[in-house]
Amino acid sequence: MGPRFLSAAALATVCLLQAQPKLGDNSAGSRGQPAHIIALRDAEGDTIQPGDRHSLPFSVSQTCGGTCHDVAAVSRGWHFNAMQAGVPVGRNGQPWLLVDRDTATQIPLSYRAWPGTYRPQQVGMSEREFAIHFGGRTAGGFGPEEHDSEADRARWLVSGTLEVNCLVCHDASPAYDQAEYASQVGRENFRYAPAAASGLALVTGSAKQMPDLFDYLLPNSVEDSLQAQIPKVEYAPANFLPSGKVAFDIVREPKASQCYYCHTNTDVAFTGAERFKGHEDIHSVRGIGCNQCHRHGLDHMVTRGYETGALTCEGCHAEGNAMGAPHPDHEGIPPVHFAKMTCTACHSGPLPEQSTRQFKNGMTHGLGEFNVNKSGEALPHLYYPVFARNEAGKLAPNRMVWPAFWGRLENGTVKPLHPDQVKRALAKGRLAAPLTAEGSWLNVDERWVEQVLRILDEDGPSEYIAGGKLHRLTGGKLVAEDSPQAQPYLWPIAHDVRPATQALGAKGCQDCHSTDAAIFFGKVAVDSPLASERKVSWTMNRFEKNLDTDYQSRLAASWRYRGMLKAIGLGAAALLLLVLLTYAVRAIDRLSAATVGRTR
Amino acid sequence: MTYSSAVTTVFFIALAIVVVDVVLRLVRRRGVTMAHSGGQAGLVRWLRVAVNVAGLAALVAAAITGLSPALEKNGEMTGGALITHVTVAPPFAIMAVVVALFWAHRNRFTEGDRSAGYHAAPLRKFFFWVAVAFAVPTLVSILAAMFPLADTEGQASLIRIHRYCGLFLAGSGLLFAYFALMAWREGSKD
Repeated sequence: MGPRFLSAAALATVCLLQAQPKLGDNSAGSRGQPAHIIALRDAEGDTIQPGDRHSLPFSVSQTCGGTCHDVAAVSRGWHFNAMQAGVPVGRNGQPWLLVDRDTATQIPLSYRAWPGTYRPQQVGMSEREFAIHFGGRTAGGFGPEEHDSEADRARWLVSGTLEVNCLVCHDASPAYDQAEYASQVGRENFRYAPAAASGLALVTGSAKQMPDLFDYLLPNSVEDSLQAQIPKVEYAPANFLPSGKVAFDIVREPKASQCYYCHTNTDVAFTGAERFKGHEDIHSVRGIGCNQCHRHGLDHMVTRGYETGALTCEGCHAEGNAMGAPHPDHEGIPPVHFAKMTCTACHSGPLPEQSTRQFKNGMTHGLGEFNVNKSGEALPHLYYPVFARNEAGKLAPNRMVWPAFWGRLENGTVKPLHPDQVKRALAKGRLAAPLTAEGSWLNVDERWVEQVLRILDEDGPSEYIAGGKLHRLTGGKLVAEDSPQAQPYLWPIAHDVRPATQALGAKGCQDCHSTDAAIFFGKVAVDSPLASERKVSWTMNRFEKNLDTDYQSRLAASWRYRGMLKAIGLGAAALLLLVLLTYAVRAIDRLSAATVGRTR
Repeated sequence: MTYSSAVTTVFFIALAIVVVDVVLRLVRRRGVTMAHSGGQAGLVRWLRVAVNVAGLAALVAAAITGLSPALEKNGEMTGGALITHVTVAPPFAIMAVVVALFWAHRNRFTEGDRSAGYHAAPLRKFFFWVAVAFAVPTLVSILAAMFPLADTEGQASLIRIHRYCGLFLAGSGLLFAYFALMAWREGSKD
């Protein structure tokens, strides 16, 4: 046995060991819930004990990922991969919305290249700033990047990384508090946030207040005035078992309520005391949890529920019948409807009405967080349902937001300005307007926009996009013109799903085929800080590209004659059949007579 | 076979029948005689002419509005073409009944149809009854599709039945018209 063979064998062994899944990723097949009695580990992998003199926050990636789970594989899933290269863009999804009330700004952001959204860098927002702004409503996955500024690198060392937080979805303990997590993220206590949210520890202080040279391993090195703000973690000894380990209530399949923390969409009319009037998705009502359709493997590439494929509308209701999904008959509905409309067009979101409705969302409005503005008018303003053609050319219901931001024209496109830049202009011109209590737009008019643009123009031609228009100064006067960048951003509605009895069309063809049918002729609210722009509305069919509205109107108008058409057709068919039968009978009679040599 | 190729096939078959008929007439050199009125009163005669012209017009209109989209979109009928076809449909249905009532009795097959020689009347009768036979499922299938009776696949089948029966109705109806004209030229008394 030569040395070459031995080294090859050693390499093969290493490869084999690497290829093997970790302990918790290789299920034996039991449907039981494995106990998660585990040791808490800090960022270095050292075990945390309740009696430690200087407690450190536990690291989720070390505690969950040390020997049991491949957190690196998990971190490439949909919840974490927006910033990663080579990830498919996928269809338009819900954007993050950078809202700044002082500057009347509402910008859809995304790291995915969804048309109509802006990458945070385009707004001058670093990944760190993004994490501070939105990280509390994510499952983590933010940390220093090579292209970070010196300032950001220093601050990452102070705050720590906002690592992938498995507990957001998988900790079913009643003590787990995602609002606490968001609060800690807001204080830039990134490395402490999971510990604080888990309920196992009390976290005080704020990394945001710490100087750039703050070292969390030597916390007392800061000046006296900041001592009270030093981030500290204190574990409750009662949470530790005699073994020094902790029992987590970890679930393989997260409960819907955990998904809802971020993925709640709630109609503004059904919030507060009116909450009981709201509806629920028929799947939830029937006891089907989110994860039963939105499944995934270790890679956490959650099934997104497009129309076709396994665990989608068609996958369960047409091709298979997973979970006993009923097969729809769609009796009397011409097949052309299925070629031209998505399942969601009739079954998802609220039924279209004469005007669009407003809704709030967990991720954009911070629903469930501490001190959240509960007003229905709190920005951002989101609307639904808006019927538009999807990438396959089918009509589908969407959610919508109108972009509103200040920007500068660069290479033919308007590059948004960071709200801080605009705030400086407002301060310079003493144009800051008082905020409204309900959290809606400022009470401003065209004159204010004109004044702000005049100041911004000092550093280069500037624009303001709002209400579907691009506003700029021409010859010293404010003009508003159409612009592709001013178009509202739409993303498809998937839930809540309505059953057949509540579907669009359940009351008859005239749900859609009437001269004032909301699906084609409903009003879509225009949102803008300018009251004059909010007065107008767009017609639904403006979003339905290539829709022959003249045909739809004529078809709808012809519906009143449909009864007559049926009566004439049925009468004619009956008479023709009668003629046919009459002479057929006579022909048979003649045939019969001919067999006995008689003619008739 | 796609629907558009079925339309083309039926059209060429109908054309072939007409060509064969024309050739046979030329070979047999049958003289052209003017039509006989059959001794009918003037008003009834004009009524028959009016029914024939209106019936033929309705058939041609229904066929053109129904079949022309097939040649462009392989049978997919939407938009203005659909509305036009649906508008033409009720007058066509009414005229189909009227034509059937006016012609059914004359189109009974008789002993005379077996007489020697080539006559247009038997072919006229044949295509008349074929047209009536196809008219019924053409109407019933599309009307059934307007009621909540059939599921998605059933709906597709009903529309397919309407298209193909309508196609054969158009073909046989036009051949009936052609042979009716030829029989009239022959001076047929039927």
